[in-house]
Amino acid sequence: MTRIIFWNVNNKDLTRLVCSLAIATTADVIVLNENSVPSADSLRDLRATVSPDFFIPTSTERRFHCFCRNPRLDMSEVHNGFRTSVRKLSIGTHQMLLALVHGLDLRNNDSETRQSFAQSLSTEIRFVKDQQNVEKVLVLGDFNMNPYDRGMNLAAGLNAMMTKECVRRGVRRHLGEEYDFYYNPMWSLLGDLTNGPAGTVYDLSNQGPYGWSMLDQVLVHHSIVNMFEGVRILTSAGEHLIMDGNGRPDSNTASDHFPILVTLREDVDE
Amino acid sequence: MSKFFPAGLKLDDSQTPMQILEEAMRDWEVESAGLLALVLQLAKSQSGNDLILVHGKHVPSNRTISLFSVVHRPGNPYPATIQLRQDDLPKVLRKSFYEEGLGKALGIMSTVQGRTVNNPWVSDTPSEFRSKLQEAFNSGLIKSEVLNLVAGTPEAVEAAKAVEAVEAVEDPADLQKPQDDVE
Repeated sequence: MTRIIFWNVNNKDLTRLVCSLAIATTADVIVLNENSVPSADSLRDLRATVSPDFFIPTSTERRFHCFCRNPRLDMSEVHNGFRTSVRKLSIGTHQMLLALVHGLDLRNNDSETRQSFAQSLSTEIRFVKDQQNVEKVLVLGDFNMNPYDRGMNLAAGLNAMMTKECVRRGVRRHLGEEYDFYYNPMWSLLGDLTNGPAGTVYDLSNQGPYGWSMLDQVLVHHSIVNMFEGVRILTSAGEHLIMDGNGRPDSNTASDHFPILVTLREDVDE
Repeated sequence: MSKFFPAGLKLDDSQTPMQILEEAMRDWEVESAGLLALVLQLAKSQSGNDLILVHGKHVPSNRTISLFSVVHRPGNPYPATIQLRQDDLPKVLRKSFYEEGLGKALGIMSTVQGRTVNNPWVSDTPSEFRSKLQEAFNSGLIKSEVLNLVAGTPEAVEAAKAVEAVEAVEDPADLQKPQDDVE
């Protein structure tokens, strides 16, 4: 199994919690977004308290702080884009791309602008797939959109569907163009009839009309759906709770976002 | 001399933004000796306009970076606008930056009254587009991003070694020797 954690740490020094998360989940890759701590400092602590194998894969993008403990996974950057960093990810015999995303924030960008961002992100991912000649893609990050927002599911946007069955036919045609389907498993984690929290962010202001939002998501390209084992929203970092008494992200002691843990199987045939 | 023909309009210069960008592609190939390439990607904007995404590529490693995009209406190459990537650098790494004054607090007043917003990246003619394109390529942000793309690669390490070797030969002490010999 390959385990990848994504966490928007809200510009706080949460290194201690990040190390606890890494120990508790035995994560192979940790991606921190909005990390105000210099990545070299985070790496030093990860090496000292979790594993000396951790390293920072080569990258020119500064938005995402990536830490990897298995050199076989590669994780080196192949594209630095508009709020994205695309990495090579090698799992078993599978060569894929991991596109890290930080969408436009809700406070300063209306839904039209964020939809436009989703469209340009999709165009950019198609470009990188073409340049690298790789079909398999995992898109991971803080999209600042919910799974049901138009940009997430428009054909020319991220074309991300609710179930594995929805993406089985691979592509859909729109205005004479074919667009690859992505499976968005975050749909299955929405609301209070799930095992975990109802979303990754709780906000009742005019930017969060539903209370809970699922801004942190993973999208799985239709070609690697069978490698996808699962995704969990994490509410604790080892022994430390990162949620408050109401089960919401505890922004006082941790972040206003919960981290997500994505697990991929490597023993799947090409 | 005509008083009524549009000033600055040259009918023998009707290159589209795409043709000008293709010229830029050739420039990059020649100037970088094939190390760097510009890659142009065609797309549609959300509002249906034609979009040319301009990417830089480090050819030996096949690593890429999105530089900026050019937008114009379908079938009408002008006006065209250049949309630069967002500058996320902290203030300490910027040569200059805009500091908000009291004007921001009063900004709502100007919004109520309406104001003219200028877009300095819009071009109405090929010559204007060429000039703004040069300006975009020469912006500090693009220069540093392109250098970051090359830095740390095996080719860059080799080049640095070559420069070090040349600098070692050009050491003032080394240069002194032949003069001594002449004496």
